[in-house]
This record gives sequence, C-alpha cells and structure tokens, in this order.
Amino acid sequence: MQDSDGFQHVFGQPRRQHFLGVVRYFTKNFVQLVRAFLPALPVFAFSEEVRSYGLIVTFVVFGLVVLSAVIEYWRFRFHVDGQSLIISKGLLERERIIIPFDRIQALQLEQAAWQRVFGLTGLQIDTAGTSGSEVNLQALPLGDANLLRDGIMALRSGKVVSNHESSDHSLQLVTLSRKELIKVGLTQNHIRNGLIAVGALVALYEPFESVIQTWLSDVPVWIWSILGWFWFLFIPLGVFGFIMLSFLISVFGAILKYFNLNAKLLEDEISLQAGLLQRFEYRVPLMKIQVLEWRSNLLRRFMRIETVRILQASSQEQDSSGKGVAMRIPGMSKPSSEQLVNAVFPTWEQRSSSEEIGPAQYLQIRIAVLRSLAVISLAFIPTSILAKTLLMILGVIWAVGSSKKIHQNMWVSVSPEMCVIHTGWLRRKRSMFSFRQLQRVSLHQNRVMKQRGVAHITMTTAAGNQSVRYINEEDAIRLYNWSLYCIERSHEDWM
Amino acid sequence: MDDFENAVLNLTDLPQLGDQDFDLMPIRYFRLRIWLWSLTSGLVFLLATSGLMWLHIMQDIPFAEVPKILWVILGLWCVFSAVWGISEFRGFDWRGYALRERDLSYRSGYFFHSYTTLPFNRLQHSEISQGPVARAFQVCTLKLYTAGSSGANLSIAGIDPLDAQRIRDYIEEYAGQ
Repeated sequence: MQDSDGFQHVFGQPRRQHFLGVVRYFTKNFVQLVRAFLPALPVFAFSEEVRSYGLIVTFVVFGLVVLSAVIEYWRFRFHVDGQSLIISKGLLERERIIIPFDRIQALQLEQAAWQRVFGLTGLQIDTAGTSGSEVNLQALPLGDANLLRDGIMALRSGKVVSNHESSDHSLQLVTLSRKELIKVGLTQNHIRNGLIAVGALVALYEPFESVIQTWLSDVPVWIWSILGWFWFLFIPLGVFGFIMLSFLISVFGAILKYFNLNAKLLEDEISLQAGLLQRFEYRVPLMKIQVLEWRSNLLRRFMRIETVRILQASSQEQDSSGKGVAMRIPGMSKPSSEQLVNAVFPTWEQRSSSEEIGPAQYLQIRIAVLRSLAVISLAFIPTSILAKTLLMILGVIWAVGSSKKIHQNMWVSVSPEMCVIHTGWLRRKRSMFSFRQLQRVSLHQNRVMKQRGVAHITMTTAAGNQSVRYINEEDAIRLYNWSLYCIERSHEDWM
Repeated sequence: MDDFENAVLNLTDLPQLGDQDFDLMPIRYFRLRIWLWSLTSGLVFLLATSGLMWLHIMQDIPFAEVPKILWVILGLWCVFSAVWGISEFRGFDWRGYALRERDLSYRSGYFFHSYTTLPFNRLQHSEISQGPVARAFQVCTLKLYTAGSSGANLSIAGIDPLDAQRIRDYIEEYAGQ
C-alpha cells in the first residue's frame, strides 16, 4: 500500500518532465524547421542581402526555436488520475489527452547516449488509435519512468504497485552472451547490408572525387596498363571484399542494436531490453499481442535460432508489408519459442487436434511456368547455341525444383482456435494468430483461379493482414466461414 | 485428429454465405459507372484522333509517317477501355452486399473477384460519404472502420442512401444490445 501511495505522490499532481526535455524539443523543432525551409536554403545562401544579415537571422531563428522548445516543455504537463494518464499541452491550441490504462498497447523506454549520461529516458506510449495519437514523454528521470511504467502495467491489471519487479514469476526467454550476439550478427541479411554499404561508399566518393583523382594521378602509367591486363583477378578479390564488408557491418549493427539483450516473460507481459549506445526497453501486455511471427534463413536454421516478431495493434506507420511496427527478439531457440507460445496462445499448446491445409497444385504449376518463362527469355542474351541450351536446361530444372520446394514448404495448421501460416523455402516465415482476434476476412480470386477452384484468403488482425495464398476453394470457404464463426461467437476482448 | 474431424462436420452446419444472399447495387450506380467509363475513354479517344487528324490535315503528314508510338498508344488505350468496359458491364451483376444478423459482406470485381466480411463486434465506427456526382445519382459510400489500421476496412460504394442509413441504424442497435 505504501508503494501505491508513493506512486500517487509522484504522479498524482500535474507535473512537468525533466528540464533537459527542452533539448529533445529543440532538436525536434530544429529538424522540422530545416526540413520545411530546405528548398529555400540555397536562395538564402546565395542572396547577398540575406548573407549580410546572416548573423542576425541565425540568432533570431535560433532564439525562436529555443523559445518554442521552452514553451513546449513548459506547457507539457502530465499526471495519473485513477485508471488513466492525463496529459495537457500546447500554448495557442491547448490539448488535453486522456489515456485509459487498459487501452495502452505497448510501452517503450528509449534512452539515447546523451540521456544515459544524465540518467534520463524517453517514454513512448502506444495506443491503437489513428496514426500520430501515440504519446511521447521526451525526458524523465530513469527512476520516475520505471515507476510510471510499472505503475501503469500493474494498475491496468488491477494490482497494487510495487517499486521492485516481482522476479518470482519472470521467465528468461533470451539473453544473448557475447558469443550468441556474434551468432545473431552472422545470420543477418548480408546481401542487403552489403548493398547498403556499397551505396554509402558510392555516395561518399562524390564529394571526395577531386582528392581521390589527384591521389590516383600519382600512380605511374605502367601500373594502370598491368591492371588493365589482369582485371579479372580482381573479381574474386572484390567478391571477397564485399562478403567481408557485409559480414562486418552485420555484426557491428547487431552489436549496436542487441548488446546485452534480455527478453523476459513476466506474469502477464513481455519485456525486452537491448542496445549499446541507445538503450531501449519495450513492454507489451500478453493480452494485447495479436500475432507472433517467426523468420529464419538458411544460416539461422543451421545455428538453430529464429527471430520472432511480436505484433500488437498499432497506430504507428505501417511498413511496406502492411504490418505495424513490432518488437523483434532475435536468437530465439526452440524451447524459448515454445515457452512464448505457451504464454501468449495457451490454446495452441493445449490443442486437442489440428488439421493441415496445403496449397493447391495450381501454385506449383504457376511458379514453375513463370520461372521457366523468365529463364527462357534470359536465354536470348548469350550468342552461342551451347550456352543457350545449357542455360535453358539448368533454368528449367531450377524452376521446377524450386516450385516443388516452395509448394512443399507452404501450409496452414489450423486448430479450432488458432491458425499458423507457414511460407517460404530458403527464407521461412511462420505466423501464428487466434481466430477470435481477427477483425475482417476476405477471399480473392481472379478468373483463372476461379476456373481452377483456387483462392486467396486474407485475415485482418488489428496488427495487419495475414494471407493464405493459393489454397483450394473448398478449404478457403471453410476457413472463411470458420473464422467468421469464431469472431462472432467470441465475447472476450480482442485488443 | 478425431476431435477435429467432428469439427469438420460441424463446419457444414455453420452459417454459410451464399451467392444468392447478396443484394445488388441500385441501377443508378450502374448508370454512374457507365457514364464515367464512356466519358473517360471517349474523351481520350477523341483527343487522340483529333491530334492525329491535325497532324494529317494541318501539317500534311501522311498517316504512314506519323510516329508509330502514337498508333501504339492509341491501340493500347482502345484495348484498355474495352477491358474496362467489359468489367463494368459484366461485373455490375456481381457487385453487391449482404447484411446478416452479425456481419456485413461485400463482393465485387469481374476479373478479380473478392468477398469481404466484417463482423459487427469488431467495428469501431462507420461513415457515410457522398460527393457531388454521387449526390446527382442519389448514391453514397458506406465506410466501416475497425481498429489499428489507417483506412476503412470495408467500404461499399454506390449504395442507396436510405439503405446505408438503415444498415447504420441496425449496427447501432446491434452494438447497444
């Protein structure tokens, strides 16, 4: 009870953030200003009149930005009242935001390097409203932020707030040691990282072009002529360099992002902490989790680890695949995945029965035909007949083989409550969600698919779409009716 | 395995959505879509042909010497508007909605069929919108929103305003229970 009083004492009255929140507001407003006036900047730079007043203009702009940051900080006040967080802000357009605790989908503490020096942290509160409705507290003393977060998490499940985490119920999911961190780094998407690095190098070359040119002109001509003869020797060297570079970047990125990673399963929430310079801590209530999504590639399967994404209803920007921004836990082993499923979707582990639905034969034929056509059109490029036939034969073998593999590795496991979609061959993905948490179901087919009795099913959760593609029409209709039945008979909360 | 076999049998007892349950859109909406199609494709065709005639008559360029790309573009446009026309004429009978006790379904598309169903117990809010053209044809768009997404999750265009209001009233009544 005493702790609860402490919570009331700290957050019961309207209060401001830590004064250094001004710094965050300043940088945010400054970046916004620069972005807004970016097209006009060259004009300012070249106009004599503006340049002669340059110092004054800079001071005035700087002063205005500082003033706006201070006012924004000054007007931003928050407190806890009963079961909700109340925020009032704004100078001219005053806003009062009330966030009931049970509407909170996720909490995130984010600590940039400079904030760690002062013992501060940012707290981001995500509700599943329209985009932009999430609330950011820019700078709070770490102790207060922890108290607020634990208090919100505890009050929403109707418990007394305690200052220290109850460790009795917590269950380690993943802790990455140095060695495992390297493992995670080594199994990242190297090709993408390597391409980004090469792109950065090309971009860096532009400004330093003249420097490099003068440096290169010192090289005697005969070296160039030798290099011109033996250029092919540089291909393996370049490939090797590319691979090493991408490996290095992957490992370095993984260390920055996942240093000291610690994922825990608490009584009714999941917590994830990680980061070397910028530390973040993420909390999601188990009730709010919509979808679990595992991804693996060849390397990860070889090391027996997977990355799991935990998706909750989100108001934030959706990424290209149409899914909300999600918590990502790398390096999950099989036992910890099972623990996670057990906690989030207990009905899956306790399922009395399940059925597996495979894709229609149409999928395999379609992939084989499309890939063969692509290869055959490529075969027009080489001039010699031998190369043409070799390319065609190998290509068709690849097309047929890969279509078979893709067909084999795609299936849906359905239990009365849950659905698990498996896709992908080399880069596999499986996503798990419960039927009752769906919000919409749709069935798509084009005319050819209708003739062949094949259809796609798209099931929409509050965290994005989940699609089952190219299954037989009867299976699709069964899945359609069953998921509607599950949604409509359910009286429980779904988000 | 046995348990679910039972469930499979149950599946056939579930309420099934049949094609006969769908109400078609009012014929006014068909007129609106045909007007849109004929005006767009006709105007573009007219502009293109008059451009060609201008080149031929005013600039004295024989048809054989007109850049080939212009003919290709004109041909592609004809094919496109023909396909569009087929999907409008043949697809209208397919476009429809079905109101059931607990959900609303919508189907549409001629070359790409789709069915979508949204259960009322997942609905956050609804909206009826009507632009000036739709007002002239006395139709409107009913939009239903669920949580956690940016756009409408089900939007039924070309519905009769009275029917849309009735569906909305029913949903409100359902939510009140």
